[in-house]
Amino acid sequence: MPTSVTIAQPVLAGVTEIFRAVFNDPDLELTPRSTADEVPGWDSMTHITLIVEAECRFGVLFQAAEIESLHSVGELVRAIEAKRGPAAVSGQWSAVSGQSRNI
Amino acid sequence: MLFNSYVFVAAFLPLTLGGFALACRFGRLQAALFLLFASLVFYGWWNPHFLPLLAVSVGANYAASALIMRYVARPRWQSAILMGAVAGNLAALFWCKYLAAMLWFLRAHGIAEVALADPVLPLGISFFTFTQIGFLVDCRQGQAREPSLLNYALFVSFFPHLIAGPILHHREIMPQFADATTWRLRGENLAVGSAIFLIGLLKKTLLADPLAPIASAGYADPSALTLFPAWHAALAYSLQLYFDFSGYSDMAIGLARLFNLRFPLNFHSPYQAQSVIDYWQRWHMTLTRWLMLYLYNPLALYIARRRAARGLPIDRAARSSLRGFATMVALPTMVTIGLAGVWHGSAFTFVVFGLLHGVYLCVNHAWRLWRPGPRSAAWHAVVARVALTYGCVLVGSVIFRATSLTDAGAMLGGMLGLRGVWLAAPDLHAAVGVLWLVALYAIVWGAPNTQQIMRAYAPALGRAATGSWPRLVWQPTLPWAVAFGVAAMLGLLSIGGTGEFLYYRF
Repeated sequence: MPTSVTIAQPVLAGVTEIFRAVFNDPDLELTPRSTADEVPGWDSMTHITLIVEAECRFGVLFQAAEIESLHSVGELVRAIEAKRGPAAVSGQWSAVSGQSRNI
Repeated sequence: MLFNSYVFVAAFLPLTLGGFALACRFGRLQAALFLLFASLVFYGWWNPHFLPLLAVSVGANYAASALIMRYVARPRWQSAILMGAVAGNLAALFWCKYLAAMLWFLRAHGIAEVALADPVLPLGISFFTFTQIGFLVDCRQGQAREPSLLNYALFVSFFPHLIAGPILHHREIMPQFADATTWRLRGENLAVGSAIFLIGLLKKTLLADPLAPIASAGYADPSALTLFPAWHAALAYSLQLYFDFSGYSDMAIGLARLFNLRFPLNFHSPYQAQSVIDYWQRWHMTLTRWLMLYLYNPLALYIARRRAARGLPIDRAARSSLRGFATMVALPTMVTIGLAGVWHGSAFTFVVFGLLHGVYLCVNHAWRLWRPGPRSAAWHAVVARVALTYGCVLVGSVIFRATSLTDAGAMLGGMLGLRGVWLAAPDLHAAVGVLWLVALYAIVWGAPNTQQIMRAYAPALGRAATGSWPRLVWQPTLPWAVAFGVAAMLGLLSIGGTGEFLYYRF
């Protein structure tokens, strides 16, 4: 998996901060290869929390249908990066107003 | 047409495989057209009157998906088309599955006087309706795109999954359609597919069907059952449902593999689950996945976003508060699993079954949030968790099987010993019956499952199977060929007395 060369470090750092807050574990270390199976407590409910926290932090909006396929930290980071790119501006979550254009 | 019928095994399947091999020589288009034709024959065999319903459903949903893709620049139009199409699908499902039951209810209670014939449920309507709603939602969210009507029609109506699942996702099937190697018969897939199909056939004919008379006799009049007969009937049905659906799922996966297609896993030793959450990730896995994708996730996301927008916390601590638990955990869980119950049918027992499992799941989530320490890995703790989970599932299966809540209550009362312990003196027949149940539970809790036996050949999409018992891992060798030859003979000889799959009713 070419994760190490394609992952943006600032996004990874931000995602790590989110994970540390959500799992209440300030020492939690993540790599792009970290998966839901390896992080204790990363279940379907925590996944929703992680996604919404990431939406607010990075100003992006995930579709409900796509979040199920984000099984690893690397996939989450890449999805955030893709949405922040110029090609994926439409349908973004507004962190300021907290409102989504698609809901 | 049943997978476990002579007409299917001796005529339809060989003719379809032969026709597919021949059509592949002419090209991919011809092969796909042939498979679609064979699937429609398969569907129409039981009742050709429902073929137009299937055709209209596929055609209308394809048209809706094309419109959604056409109006990419107009999200509001896309949403309107999606809502119209989903409403149409649900209306057809409601009309076929729930309307008659509702009218019967109204008439029985003297609320409305309506003339009714016995309702006949179109086979597989719950399955192909859900498959297509999922596809439309993904089109709207930009996650799916299928310009070929033939591919779409084959995706929905391919005969191995058409009647009772697995509920497919386009993302796992369309790439396989696009793969050129799909469109020619391949020896390895024929061998692997046949082996999986045979395991499923044996589960159905040798393990599930002999239990049906015990369960049927018990559930026919549960109010007459004392402790042991009540347990015998309840356990017999629990095992019948397990081997029936497990056998069906194996047969569907095996049949698809004969045609070079890999289906998602649908069943992974669910009675070995150590929690009810775990159980739903092992039982009817593709229905659980569908519900997560299109019901639970959107609902849970909506609730979490609303809270975040109002500045309320959404983390674990927030979920651990009573109010946070009620809105972020209990509400989406109860709605999702409650509807999963109703998906099985219009009887009130299914509503209660869904709500009961909703309560189980909420308690399970609450325990995860508030339990004092980490989960113990000691063997006695594992046994206790499996036993507790199975006990909960067994109570659910009584409600699921009983024809009314009164009957379910009577069966549970009998199991609690409220009508005494035994009806007649124990005899040899009863002892053999008990030993047979013990043997079946040994298989359920101790034997490797189909994907573990077939793990060297990636039998299904999704979770990769692991396990011990290396000697029981299937290989294309002479001993395995002999074993499966015997299994095939047993399976074929026992076909005659077998019945419909339980999940055909849904």
